[in-house]
Amino acid sequence: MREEKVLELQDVSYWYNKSAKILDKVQASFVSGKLYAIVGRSGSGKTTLLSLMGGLDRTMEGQILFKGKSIDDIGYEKYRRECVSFVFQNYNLIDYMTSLENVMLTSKSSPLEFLKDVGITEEEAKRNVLKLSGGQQQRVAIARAVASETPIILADEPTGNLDEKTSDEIVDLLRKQVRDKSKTVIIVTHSKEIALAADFVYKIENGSLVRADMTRT
Amino acid sequence: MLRRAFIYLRRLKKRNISLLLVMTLVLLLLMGGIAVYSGIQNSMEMLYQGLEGHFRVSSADPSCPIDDHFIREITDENSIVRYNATNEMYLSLPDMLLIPGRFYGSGSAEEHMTRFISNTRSSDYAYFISKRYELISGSHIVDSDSGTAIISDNLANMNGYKVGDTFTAEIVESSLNLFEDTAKGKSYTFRISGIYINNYEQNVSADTAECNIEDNYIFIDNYTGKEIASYLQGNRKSVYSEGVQFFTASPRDIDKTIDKIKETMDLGAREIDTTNLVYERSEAPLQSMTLLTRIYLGIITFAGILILFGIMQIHLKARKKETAIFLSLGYKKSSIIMQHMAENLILYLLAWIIAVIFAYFAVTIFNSLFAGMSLHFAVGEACISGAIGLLVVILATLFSQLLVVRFSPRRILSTFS
Repeated sequence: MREEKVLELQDVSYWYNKSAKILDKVQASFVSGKLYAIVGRSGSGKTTLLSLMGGLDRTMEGQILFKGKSIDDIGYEKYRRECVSFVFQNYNLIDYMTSLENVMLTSKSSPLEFLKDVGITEEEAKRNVLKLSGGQQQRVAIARAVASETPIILADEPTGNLDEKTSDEIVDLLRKQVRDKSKTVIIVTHSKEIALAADFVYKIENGSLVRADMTRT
Repeated sequence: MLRRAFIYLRRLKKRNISLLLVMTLVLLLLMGGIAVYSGIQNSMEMLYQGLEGHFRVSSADPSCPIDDHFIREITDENSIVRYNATNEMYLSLPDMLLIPGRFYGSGSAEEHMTRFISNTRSSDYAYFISKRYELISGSHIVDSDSGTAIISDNLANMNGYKVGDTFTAEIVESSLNLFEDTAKGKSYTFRISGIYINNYEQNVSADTAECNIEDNYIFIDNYTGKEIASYLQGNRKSVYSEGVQFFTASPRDIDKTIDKIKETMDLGAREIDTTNLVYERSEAPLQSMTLLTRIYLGIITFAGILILFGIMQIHLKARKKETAIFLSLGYKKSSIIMQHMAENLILYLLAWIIAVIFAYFAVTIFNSLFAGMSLHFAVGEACISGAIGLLVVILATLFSQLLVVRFSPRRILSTFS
């Protein structure tokens, strides 16, 4: 399938104190049907970059384009609703809802099908999310993200709270979205295994985003 | 949005109980206040209907007299139900002992002189209306009376008089300013038709003249009074020196009637006084209670907003993560606020139903326990309190949602991940 540039960062900068910028004229582009990993030490700006790409915050300088259109023009709420979806380290499910109800927050049709696709049974779907294991909750979170049918999935340390086996299963689910639905999946991670599994790896260093060669790490 | 609201309310019952209880309490307090307010308004309406309105017209200018012609002009054109015309004159009582005053033992004419007050109807005299004087035996003087009098109980006791007895009064030289010689020596016999008691503690000193001691006042009929006045005022003209009290069907008619009189008649130097002591005394406590009830309702409304706002704030702070999740999923802040509003309004509807049922049964039980008491459960009052309570809930919710308005979606990553 022909690759399409879905997300582009043009001279994106962000700071709390202008003399010490967290991100400084970051340039990057992301295409459909690829799995990206963004690595960097703690405090390097990974979370800030993710919040900007996810439309949770505004850039101080530069712009972020979705399929050639600026997020400012699209509208931040609409962008978060129709263009990107999130998978969080802490799952961030609505804790008084069932799995089914959580997925229904982003999808009106066939929420059960999305849950089955990620390995959640019908019985588990009707259970309150707090009665599921960590791995099951993360599957529900992925189902919620997939159900929104957005072309981009942003994952912030999705396997941070999971054991190795479950982590592999979660990464497999994300890769499945890339492979079967040509989604763009961008994972922020400390995990070397995830970085090795990605098609492209970026590293945040000194406020810039650079391609990383995982063979040397 | 409604589906999400119902899910929240169903799943987090314990958290929402406190809000429901406070809403129910606020509603019950409002219902009680409005019931009291309605009761007071009903009492005031009954007072309007039960009491007459009256106003007084008087004149100190001889060129603008209050006489029968003037009275006819007023009563013909306006909604006057009756009137009481009053005259005052000073006559001597040669055979009657008076409550002693300044002239006691002086041998002067003033020693035996007292104030005679003639009335069309003595019951309509201001002091009888205000209950300063009260008739304790016999009957009041009416329009058709002639040669009748009402005296005080002290005067009656001093002289051994009772209802039905007679006494004589004379016009003497020092009776009044406008004096006709032909009137000097004229005497009038009065039959005592009633005896009154003076409830007022007059401050009587050694310098108080007999004619100014209230217990010496004698009320006489208008027919005889007019004749005496015509002699004393000269020219056989009869005017009412103390003016006329006009009565309307209701205190509500007074202003309208007076306005019409002023429009259609030239009053000249005549003055209108609308002081209505009985009505004002009766109305005053009701007006005070009305004000207190309004203050009470205002306090309940304000306190209700504050307390509900406080509880809602606490609940919203516990829902920060939930808010962040919704924002990250692309929900608009307005949609989140509307969901919270829907939750609170659903709770409020439940609170209103509970309050109405509770109030209904409370009134029923109260009436059965206290025979003779009659509380009413009024649907209208329940609806009014419901409307005020609704305002309280909406305002409290809107104020609390400032937290959501100021919330940054970025916190989903910085705080909750």
